Amino acid sequence: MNHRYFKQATMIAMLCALAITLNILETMYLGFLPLGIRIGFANIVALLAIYLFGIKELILINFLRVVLSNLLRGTLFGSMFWISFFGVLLSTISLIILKKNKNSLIFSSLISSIFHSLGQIIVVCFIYSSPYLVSIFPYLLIVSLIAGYFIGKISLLILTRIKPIIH
Amino acid sequence: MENKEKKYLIIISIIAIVSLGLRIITHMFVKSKGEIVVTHQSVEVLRVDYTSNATYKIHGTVGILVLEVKDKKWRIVEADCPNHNCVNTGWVDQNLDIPIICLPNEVIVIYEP
Repeated sequence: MNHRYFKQATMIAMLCALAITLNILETMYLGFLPLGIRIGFANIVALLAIYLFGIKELILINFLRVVLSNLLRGTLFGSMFWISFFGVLLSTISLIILKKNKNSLIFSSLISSIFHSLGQIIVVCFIYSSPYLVSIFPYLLIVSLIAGYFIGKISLLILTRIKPIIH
Repeated sequence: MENKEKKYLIIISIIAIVSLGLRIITHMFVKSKGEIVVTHQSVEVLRVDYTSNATYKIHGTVGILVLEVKDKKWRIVEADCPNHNCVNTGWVDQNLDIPIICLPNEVIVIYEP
């Protein structure tokens, strides 16, 4: 059996667990913020996944994160699940495109965080069937710019420390 | 970050700030009317301003209900119904935005911003 394969599978499982834990902790302790604003600490793990492993692993970790964290919170296939699912879907697609174009990490984090909010707001408009809910998007845009910058910065700090250990 | 990315970032920040400004300005200028709407059997029978100080009589299915609007608050004072759930709801204002419902009379009092 391939030693490298097992090492990578273990790493992915650990990153996945980290993302789920961050997601649930954030929902528990930052749920009081208005307009459903969240920092998105779990996206640190997504950035680490694409820069450490690759696109396939990013898709795997993000998909597992959404499904399992909603399963643990008991909101699987509810409205919250679809909101977070389409947010993550759009941010993953944008992250892959940005990585292919060789953009910097902080810029990728910013743009994917904006697309995350965009995907969520589109699904919210469909679920509540009122397009006027787009009017809270300006607030989300400002928050996702700030949060995306800091998430990118944190991921960069982690990446510079963790990369020599793994490779 | 590269120069090109900084340029994109500045454009996005300008869009964000302008859209937030427009949002706040439109929110300030669009004034809500604030009306109390009374429906009987899903048909609108009364529509009054929530700042008016007056009492109104509503003809329900069983009997008459009296709606009192006072100091931007409203309540059902008395009603001809067996259990008086509508009267027991008490005062309602725009912050406590709950409907007053009388099932026997098929009357619903809601606030429309």
